[in-house]
Amino acid sequence: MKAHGPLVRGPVLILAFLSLAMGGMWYMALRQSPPVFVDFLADIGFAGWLAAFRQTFASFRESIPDVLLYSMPNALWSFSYTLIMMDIWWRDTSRARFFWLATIPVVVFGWEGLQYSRLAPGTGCFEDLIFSLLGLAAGFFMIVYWKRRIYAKEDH
Amino acid sequence: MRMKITKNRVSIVVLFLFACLSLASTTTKSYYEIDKETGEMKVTSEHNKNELIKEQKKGHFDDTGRWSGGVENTQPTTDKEPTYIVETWDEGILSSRRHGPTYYYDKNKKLLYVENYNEGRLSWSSKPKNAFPATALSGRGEGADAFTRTFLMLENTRPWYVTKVEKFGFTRSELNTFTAELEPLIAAQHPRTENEFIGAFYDALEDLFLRSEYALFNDIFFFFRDVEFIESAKAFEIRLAEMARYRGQGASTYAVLTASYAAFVQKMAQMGVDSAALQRFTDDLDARMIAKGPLDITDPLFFHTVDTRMEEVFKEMDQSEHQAMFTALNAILIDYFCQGEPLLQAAKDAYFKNVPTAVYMLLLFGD
Repeated sequence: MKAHGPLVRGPVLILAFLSLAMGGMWYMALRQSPPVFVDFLADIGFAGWLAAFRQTFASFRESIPDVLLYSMPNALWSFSYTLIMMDIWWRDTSRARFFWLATIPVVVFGWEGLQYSRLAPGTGCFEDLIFSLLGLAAGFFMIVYWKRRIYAKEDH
Repeated sequence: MRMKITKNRVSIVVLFLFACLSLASTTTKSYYEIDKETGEMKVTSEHNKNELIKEQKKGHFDDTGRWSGGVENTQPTTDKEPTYIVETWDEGILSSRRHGPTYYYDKNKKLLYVENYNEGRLSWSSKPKNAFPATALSGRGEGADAFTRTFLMLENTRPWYVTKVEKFGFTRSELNTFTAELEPLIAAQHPRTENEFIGAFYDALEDLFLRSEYALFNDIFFFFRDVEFIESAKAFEIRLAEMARYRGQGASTYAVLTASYAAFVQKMAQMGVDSAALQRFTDDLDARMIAKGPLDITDPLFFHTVDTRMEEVFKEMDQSEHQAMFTALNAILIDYFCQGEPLLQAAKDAYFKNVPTAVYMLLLFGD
């Protein structure tokens, strides 16, 4: 009987975490409109650090096209969510996997849809949707690639 | 089996974390952008508690972050007109108020009408007067079947407010009905001074906002009050002096205040803050601002960074150390709130100009 592998593979976890962190830092460093979590960080005493952090990236902000500035975090976060969920459930045989794998498009596009239909706070737009799709697709293909090429060795 | 349970639990945690992240990364405030080609400032305001509203203003700021000159204002596209407005704001003389012509266009950029403002109040309008029903013009009747004094005052001095409120889905007729209920509630408290009136106004509002039919206007009222407050408070002398200090126009905020804002120093003295207390406060403010790191005065958003840091510093400061100063600051802030509140101003003007309705309307509309 083959032993269970880890719930989420180390490299996947690292990549998902980095992608998530990058999305957060993108907001902190580049967006003119600080989201709720940046306000929260400022309130708990990181205001000075945040100001210095933003100042460091001030010139970089000028050179980034608006579409990247506003929609990149969507791609990074949907990539991260897809990686984790796919890695947990891709090779599972239970029915639960259908549910959890279905949460990927539901969460990624549902959130944008809710914003677009004004049922959730935020500004849903076509660019966000495209970037979310790109993130999802990148996560999907990366896991499929890994599973086939690298983790296949473990099965032998 | 245990592995499956763990997977489910981990998945729930991951889903929950991402849901929290999605909520925490939404933006619900005004934000600034700079048009790289023209150097113009673009301010986007969003309000999305009940529905998403996005308004964009584009124009030039003076060096303290106040609108100056022509401002393009694009409001949400709805079936209600107009959607595109070009406003004129005073150029550094006043405290960020409409001053000059405002052009209202429909969504095809066809000019609908023009309003001219003088220091924030309407001086003339090309909007057809037949927008008012005969009952109101004749002065017959009171209450929601005719326009109230407050509504008329609002529409004839700050019509931009009525236009904006309509954008949020609260109609002119509903606003008039609201004022018809508001006026007797205020009058029942018999306010005799301006301060008493403000208290009576907010007491009356509180009563009305408890009612479900005014839930939408409750949101709109406080949203606009905050937006207008931010504009009014840009004239706050300590803010201006702090910016001047950064620009090297004085060794300290106190030095700038005494040199350039003597009337403010005098006003503070009348409010119980002597020069020593004011200097102690501003020196503390300067030290805390400096401790937050250097600022680039050439950054177009320099004023915004100063505002953000000042807000943080005010929160950090020990109020007991500057008790008299904070008491005075509260009074000043309330004053800014009131200045920036069109409904309050209209209700106040209507209340204190207590003349018979027919004469009143004659005064407003002319013959």
